[in-house]
Amino acid sequence: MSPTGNGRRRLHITLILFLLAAGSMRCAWGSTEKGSSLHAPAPVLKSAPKRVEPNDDAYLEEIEKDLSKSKLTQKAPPTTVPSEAPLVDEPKPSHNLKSLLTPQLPWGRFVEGWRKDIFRAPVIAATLAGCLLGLLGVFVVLQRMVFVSAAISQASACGVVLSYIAASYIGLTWFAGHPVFGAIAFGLLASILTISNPTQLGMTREALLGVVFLGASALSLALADRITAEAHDIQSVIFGHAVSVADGDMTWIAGLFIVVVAFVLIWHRVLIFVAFDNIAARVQRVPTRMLEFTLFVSIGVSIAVCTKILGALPVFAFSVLPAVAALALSRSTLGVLLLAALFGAMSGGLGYVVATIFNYPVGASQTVVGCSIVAIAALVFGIRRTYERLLGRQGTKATA
Amino acid sequence: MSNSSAPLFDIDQLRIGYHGRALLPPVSFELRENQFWMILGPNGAGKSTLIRSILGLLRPLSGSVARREGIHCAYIPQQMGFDPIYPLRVRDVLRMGCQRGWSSLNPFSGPGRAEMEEALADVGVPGVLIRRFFDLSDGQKQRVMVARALVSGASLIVMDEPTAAMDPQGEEEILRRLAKLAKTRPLAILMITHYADAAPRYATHVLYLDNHTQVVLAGEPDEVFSADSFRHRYAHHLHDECCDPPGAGPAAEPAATLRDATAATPTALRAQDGVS
Repeated sequence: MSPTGNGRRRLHITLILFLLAAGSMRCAWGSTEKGSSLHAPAPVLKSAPKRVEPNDDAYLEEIEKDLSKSKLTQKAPPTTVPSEAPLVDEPKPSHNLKSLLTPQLPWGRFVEGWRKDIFRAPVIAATLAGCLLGLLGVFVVLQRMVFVSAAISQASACGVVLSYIAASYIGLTWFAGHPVFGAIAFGLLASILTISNPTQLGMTREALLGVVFLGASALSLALADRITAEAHDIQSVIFGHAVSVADGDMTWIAGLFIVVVAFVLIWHRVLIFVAFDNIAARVQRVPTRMLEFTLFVSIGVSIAVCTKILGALPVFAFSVLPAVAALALSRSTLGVLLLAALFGAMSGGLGYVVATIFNYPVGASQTVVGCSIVAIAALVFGIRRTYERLLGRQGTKATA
Repeated sequence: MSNSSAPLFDIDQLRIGYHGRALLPPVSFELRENQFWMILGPNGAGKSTLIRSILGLLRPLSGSVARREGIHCAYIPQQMGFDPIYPLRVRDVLRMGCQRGWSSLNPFSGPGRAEMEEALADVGVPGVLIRRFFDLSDGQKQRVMVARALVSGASLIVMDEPTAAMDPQGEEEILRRLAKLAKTRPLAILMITHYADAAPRYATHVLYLDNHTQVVLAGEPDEVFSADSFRHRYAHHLHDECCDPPGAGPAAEPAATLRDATAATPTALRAQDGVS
């Protein structure tokens, strides 16, 4: 039985609620983790300061100083916890609602930081990742397997953690030198598991996705506690608030972007045919297995690399939300692909800018921007449908 | 070089099934141009398994399927199999017809606009080329799928219950057009249906499968309809049809045809009754 329009809407609403809940949970969880004494206070920015000369102008130092005050930079929260509840309420710090929407970093300073190369690399990386995953997300959403990307991103995060474990405990320096390989290996493993036939194991595909997601999450969190040297990187990958990008990561994301975007745009028609009417494609002797395999490898590798760079939450968001919004707005295949790429790029780039200026976690901000785009798209879809129905009624009356 | 008088498909002693267990007795028949075959039978009779084996999607247990060299096939699934989430216009669906083999990897291949318009006109839905596929009615969608098969240049169109979700009028309309296409174009149609009434009027041949009684009947409609094993299965149906008053709407004509069919003598019937 094919899913109906109502089913599709319900799926999208459930998904968005799931993402919002996951985002808030991760933020809360991340804060708790950061409060743990096992985790050293994280550095301010991992790679961006490397590009700045130590004796650069004082203004840049001021920007960095501003950033260091930001929550973005993973500053350590208070570590002292009262052992007993106070008898008398202590005066609480005043929480001004207005402060939530007050820019913490003036726009001019952001622009200056961009010119000084502080923000350029992470914004470009987030934009490319959003665009890439937005494009691939169309196939993920069309094949109704959105939670596959959640499972793959979580497995990739687990791969990064295991690569650090391998470095710390076994001494595999080549593996630790490229944690992206760990992410790719586990991302591909999860991809293969999720496209395999789990009925032989007595499971449905949804159940298998749940097992992969939960197993990878639990393993990542459990093992992350045993690594202190790379605590910040691991927290960023698991909770999705990476603020900086290493040079090697930029090479990975740029290379993937060129290859995968070219693959999808050149062969989008036949890829859609294979997804839409697989048996007819096989009868017409289209190389369906090769195309499906290539698409799944592209999805697995892209999610893995982007998870290593940006973290699990924004990667899941990029591979779902832009496609959902594009499908609501466009009625042609190419239009959906281009819109999804645009919305993904907006979620990535704009999300980072919003996070920087308003002092919010990056991954959560990118997800919220994605959700906002979906909300606007749903509104436009609703207005357009109502308008078309009214036009239809008028047409019927005129005919009568 | 292909011989136009040779059958498109020669199915010889084909045994179909799963895990080494045959569903039906061996099936043998030939598919030729301008033939319209309807496959009838109860649920689970092995109809879909048979067409999957003929199309090469499923390995048969034994027997052979000889396909004439150089011919193409097209497959039209049930309407319910389509997911309306896909952002497809009618032209996108028609272009799928031309994606065959490794040439499907050429992004610039595809039918011209005139060719697509002509195919749509042939199936009775002109002017819908840029309309959204899922905005069409079930009948129109099914015709667009037939147009896709025409654009592909297929010599054999295989359809799996194409009229399952359609009202009787829409069903009659699509069957009438299919029968006309089979007569006028160099192609054959092989269609699974539960609509036995239509077979005598539109089909040139009927293949009846029943894995419960292990019966396979293949031949012209009146031959198959007059076989005891078929009449036993559809006895109540034939009785109902016979009891309809003459001229009572669309059912009147099939009733008359079925009465004639039951009176006919089965001759030259290629049947394999495994049990009976």
